[in-house]
Amino acid sequence: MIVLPIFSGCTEQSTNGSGMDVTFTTLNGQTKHLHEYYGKIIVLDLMGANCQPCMYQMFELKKLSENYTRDQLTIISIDVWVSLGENAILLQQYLNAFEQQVNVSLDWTFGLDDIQGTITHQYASEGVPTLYILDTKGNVYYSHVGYEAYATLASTIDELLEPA
Amino acid sequence: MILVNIIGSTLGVAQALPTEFGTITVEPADVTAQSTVTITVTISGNTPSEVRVTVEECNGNTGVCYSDIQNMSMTEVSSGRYQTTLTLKHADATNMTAIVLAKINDQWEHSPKKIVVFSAAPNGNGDDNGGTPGFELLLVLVAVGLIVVIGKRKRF
Repeated sequence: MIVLPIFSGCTEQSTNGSGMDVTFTTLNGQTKHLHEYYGKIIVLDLMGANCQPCMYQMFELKKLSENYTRDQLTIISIDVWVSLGENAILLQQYLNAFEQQVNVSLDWTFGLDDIQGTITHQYASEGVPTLYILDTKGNVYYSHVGYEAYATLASTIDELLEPA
Repeated sequence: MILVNIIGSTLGVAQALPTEFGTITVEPADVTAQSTVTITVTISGNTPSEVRVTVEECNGNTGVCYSDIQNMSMTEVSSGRYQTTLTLKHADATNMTAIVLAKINDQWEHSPKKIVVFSAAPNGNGDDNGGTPGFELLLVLVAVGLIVVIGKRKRF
């Protein structure tokens, strides 16, 4: 019963104003914190390069990237299977494969979890992809384990974009 | 520094033989969720010091791959033929992906992915409420078109 809402999505996971925060490493080796992106809606995609549904999720995220402005939302995909052997080289090859094989440029921020799997244990222990949509203060407005279609993600983002 | 690298790579090339992974077979032919399967592969070229297989289970209806990937050691059962037996974990999994990893000259090389779609619906009830229609077909089609090609990489 407790885990049911996360599978059904659309769960409110307010962190009482403190905001969800994770630390990750970008593909160029920079350490980033999620709180650096507060101020816009954040779509956080916790994925694995060897996870097939995560590939399909990329196409849905690409639609978000195309249909919303950078002022409205930030998309961040973090490979959380680093503790299972995935690394920056593999992730870069993954991005290159999209570009070269299906001509899709995944033009948002990509990063990696640490080798201990800190983000995995905390936020993606069930599996990948795990998606979070955060409000401008970093509070979790929506979460879902598994592939999610563009329409659901977009309607959730539109709710957040509506003036209060 | 550059010279050292060139020498290093030259020596590396001289010692290296191409490693070839044969087809990964998964038995029995009709795999079902939570069943016990035997995975076999042949490896030719260099003799690996260690061979492992990772098995990822996914639910094609919900589009999720479980994070508790199994990483099993494979035993050489005959010359160049490696095998292991494992039990799948998830009752609602609809497919699995196996990748064989061979440690050769301290580098992990990996095989192409072997995707096995399970023969029975999860829990035997065929219910895919809330799922993504056609997801399994999409899975196979896109996987074929979008395989990430990696020459060598460490897994551990």
